[in-house]
Amino acid sequence: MDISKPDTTDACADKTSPFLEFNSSIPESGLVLAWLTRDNTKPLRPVQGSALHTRFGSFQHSSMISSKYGTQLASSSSTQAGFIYLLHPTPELWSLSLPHRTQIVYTPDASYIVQRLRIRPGSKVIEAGTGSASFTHALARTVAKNGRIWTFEFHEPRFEMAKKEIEDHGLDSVVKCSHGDVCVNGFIPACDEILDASAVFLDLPSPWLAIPHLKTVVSKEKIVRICCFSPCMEQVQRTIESLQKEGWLDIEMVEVSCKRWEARKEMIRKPQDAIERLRDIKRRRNEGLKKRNERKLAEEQNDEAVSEAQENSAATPAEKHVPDKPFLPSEYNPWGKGKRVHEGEDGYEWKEVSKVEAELKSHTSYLTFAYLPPPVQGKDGSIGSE
Amino acid sequence: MNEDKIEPNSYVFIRLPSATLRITKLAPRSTIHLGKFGSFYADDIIGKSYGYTYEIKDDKHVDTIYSSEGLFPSSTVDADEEEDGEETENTPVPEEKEVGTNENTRDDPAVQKLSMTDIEALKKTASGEKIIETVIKSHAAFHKKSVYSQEKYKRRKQQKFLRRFTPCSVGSCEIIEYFQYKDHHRILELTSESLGLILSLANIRPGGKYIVIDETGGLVAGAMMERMGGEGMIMFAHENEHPNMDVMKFMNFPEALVAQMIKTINLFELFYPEEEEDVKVLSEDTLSKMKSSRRGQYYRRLARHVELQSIFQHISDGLFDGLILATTLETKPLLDRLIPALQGSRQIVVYNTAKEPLVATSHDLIADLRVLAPTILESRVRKYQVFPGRTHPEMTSKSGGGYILWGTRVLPSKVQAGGKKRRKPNAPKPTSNGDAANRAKVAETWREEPTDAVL
Repeated sequence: MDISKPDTTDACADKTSPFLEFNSSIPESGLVLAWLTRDNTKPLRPVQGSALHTRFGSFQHSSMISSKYGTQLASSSSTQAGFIYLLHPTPELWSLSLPHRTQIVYTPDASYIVQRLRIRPGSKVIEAGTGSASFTHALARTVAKNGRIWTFEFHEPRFEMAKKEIEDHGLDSVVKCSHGDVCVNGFIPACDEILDASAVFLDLPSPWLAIPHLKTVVSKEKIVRICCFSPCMEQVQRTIESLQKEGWLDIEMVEVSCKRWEARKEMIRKPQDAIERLRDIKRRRNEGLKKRNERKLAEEQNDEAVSEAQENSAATPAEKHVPDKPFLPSEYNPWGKGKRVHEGEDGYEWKEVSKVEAELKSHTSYLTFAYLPPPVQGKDGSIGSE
Repeated sequence: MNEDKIEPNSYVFIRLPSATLRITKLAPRSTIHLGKFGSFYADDIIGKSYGYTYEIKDDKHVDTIYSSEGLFPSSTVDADEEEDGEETENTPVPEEKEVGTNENTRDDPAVQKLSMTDIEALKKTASGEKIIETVIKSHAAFHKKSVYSQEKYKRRKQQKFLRRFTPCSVGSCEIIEYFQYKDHHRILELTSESLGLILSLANIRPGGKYIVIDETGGLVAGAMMERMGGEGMIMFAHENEHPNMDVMKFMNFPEALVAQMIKTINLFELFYPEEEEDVKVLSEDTLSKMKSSRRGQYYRRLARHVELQSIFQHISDGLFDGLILATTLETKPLLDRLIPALQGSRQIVVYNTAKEPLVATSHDLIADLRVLAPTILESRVRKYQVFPGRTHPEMTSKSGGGYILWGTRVLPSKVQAGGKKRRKPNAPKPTSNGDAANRAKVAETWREEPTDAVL
């Protein structure tokens, strides 16, 4: 993939990230998401002399550099008149194009979690595991440069890839990647920072093993919110038991389902048109019968005049089949029957409708939310519960 | 907008054991009335961190509930936590043999030995928990109930008698929760899942310059402010003479911050900037002779004029980083006016309570080519009841949530003056799955080869 092209350190050197700041035009070796189709977006960094080759044609990197983000770029090949769009990275577009290493948290879930956990610029967040770092990008965009994300991954190759990607994207000042199993060792970051998170996101096979480790790494001054992301109900139940035991409150479990609708056009087919078409068919059948009867009559009445009668009725060889097929139903054809009509084609009446996408993502995971109040100062000054 | 500590004179969202929600302004030295849950002195909680739950005492002062409890005393689910030995037979462990049924349940008002007057008398002297305990003890058939229905009974009594409350900072989530039950229409039926999706798709973040048309009383703009951390700008276009931010006011943003970040413009100004009259600049001499009130008025007009000119400049330079429409106004003319104000590869998000207007807009955008891959999304959250052995989706949930149209502003290499598209004889046919973007893309290839020219 083009993203692995030697991009040296240019993009990382100035420490700006397209996920944290907007650019108008594409800097040399700046991250671009090349949009080919809805399901195919390729991340790349344009460098002189390289090109992107696709089934829509080839695209020179040199023509991307200094172009505005959002540009529709035509293929440089003369045979293929395809084009691509050069898009500015966003966490949402990135989640559609990123190299999947694990099942990712999709935007409908991710956006709801950010909203419910009250993630704000400057927030401090714990995430475990990092996975494909898709949600990490969404978190980083929102906590921004004054915030902090401590993300943990126990799978070493995934951790390495995520760490490299975070650095590549200029997010390493905000996102601290650590390798380790939080269920066993707790939340020990690779950096020497003291964790005081006010939001926690756990996407782990056994979040209930990690929850007891949280108390020491979350804020002691403010309310702390958590979201556990689990695909199975059994996981949810154990998670809830653990949250209750650890004093988390207002425990709530929900599921997000998101439908994608397509704007389509449906032909307006009026019953009256069907009736008119049938009337037309009947009329022409009757006409055909009438003609045939007349001809028969003429044949019977005047055998000698057969050839003459045929000439009068302008009979063609096709007419000979009239008894089998007395009409062609194409005279009155309001809906283009038998023709290939494209959706929305001129000459027909269309209604704007919506249809749900073919494949429905009907279950991603259950989201368990809760909050932990700050420790209470007892009357004797002690902290903690009864 | 302090979300950590309760500040004087801020609006506070109050959660009560019953489903009732309140938003109250905490003036110092005031008494806050919570109806049947009692009244308390605001000063008792001003300055405290958010997140605590309080119990109202008879003298209107409050006690902080220890952190292992929230609005409801000791978990109603976990049997291990139960300390009372005598309760063990009723502990709600969901084992088959202990799960009672309603086989022997009969409606009989006589099972409750306490009369209304007894309870009223109790309310005057006893704490909420004591009342509940007494009510349960006086319930002759309580032990006949299944463990589940015992819990439900207890929870109902708690909702009625507990004098607890939890103050929360008022953010966009709390606003939604509040209006969902009160007047959902006022915030265009927005839900947290839809609002969250709008903010993410529109790529709202610190430092961005965004356009919003917000008919939710400023909820959407307020939620954007939450995500911007005081950096960036929101152009707030509105249909009336004055912008409506009645809902946003609950979110406790300092006035100066709102003035700094939100630039308002009405639709007349937006569509007819040339009709904006210049303010005649007055000399120092003239000004010094003016009455101070007239002079103040003059300076305000001048400042507004300068601000408007800078907004016009931003629009004509096309410098904005995103667009959110949450309005009942017809979308197309608004998009026609506002799309050119956006930079390339910026997000456009249109929210509506109904899908049909978005379908129409989607078709407009497919023909437009300045917006890539318009997609309509419908996000819904379903809440579950989760108790061991009794997990299921909740029986009812609030409707609302609307629909979201999302697309990306792009810069087509050749702008087609939105007319009919003519297909070349051998042009590829639109994809049968009706993928809007693919069709737009196909439509594009029907025309002559795109040039390399970049707008």
